[in-house]
Amino acid sequence: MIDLLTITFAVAAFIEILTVISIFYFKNILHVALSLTAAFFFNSILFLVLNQPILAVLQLFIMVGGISTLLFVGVASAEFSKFTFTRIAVLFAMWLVLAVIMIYPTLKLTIQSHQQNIFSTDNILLSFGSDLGIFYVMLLTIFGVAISSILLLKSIGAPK
Amino acid sequence: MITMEYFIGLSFALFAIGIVGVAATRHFLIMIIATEVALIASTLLATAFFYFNANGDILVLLFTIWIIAATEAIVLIAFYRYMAKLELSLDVTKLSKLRD
Repeated sequence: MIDLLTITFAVAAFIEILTVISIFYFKNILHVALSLTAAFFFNSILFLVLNQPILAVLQLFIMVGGISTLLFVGVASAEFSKFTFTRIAVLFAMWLVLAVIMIYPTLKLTIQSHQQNIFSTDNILLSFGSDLGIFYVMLLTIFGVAISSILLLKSIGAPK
Repeated sequence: MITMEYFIGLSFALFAIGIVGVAATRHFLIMIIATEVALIASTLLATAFFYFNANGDILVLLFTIWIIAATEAIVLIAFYRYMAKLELSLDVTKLSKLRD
């Protein structure tokens, strides 16, 4: 008897392979970016199969919310894309389905607030001495690289 | 019952598709996207090893990989927009020459 986890793994793996192959099949660059986004999404589902929900959410935040969004903005703003219109009705239907799927599990949650000041001076100093400080440094690095690359390209492309 | 071999096979397949895509394509943006595919294959393999062996902490490794992927995407998409503005060809074989 095949369990639900195995079925989920098989379906997610198959669709992820298909979306990755379709990256090299599509002619329109925006469809290629959409395929990559779908590959990231099904990769996060595989993280759920591995019982890592936090990593799945982080994958969605960083890869789908960060990299894919950047890719869409970069591709759509250039003139190499031929995507010129959006079906508003389809967009609304997809939004509605996604909103229901996301909101439904939270209807039964009860959030307990802990009366604790997280952002005290001691906690911030302590966080820089731990692994969390590494994450801050990494985030500053990526932000600095992004801004620096834009400034460098603006200076290269500036008229003399 | 899912075993680690399934995830190893899937990760290797994704990584191979990404690497072959980088080598086979001549489009600048598709090469970037193929690199991202290889990176997500590596994150999946690391998570699978962590789950089945439960040894050590992979969060720092995953964050490092994700940040490398994001940084690379940012810089290369900035270059892509710059090339689009200058109406340069996206064929990397044409970009391999320094002068025409």
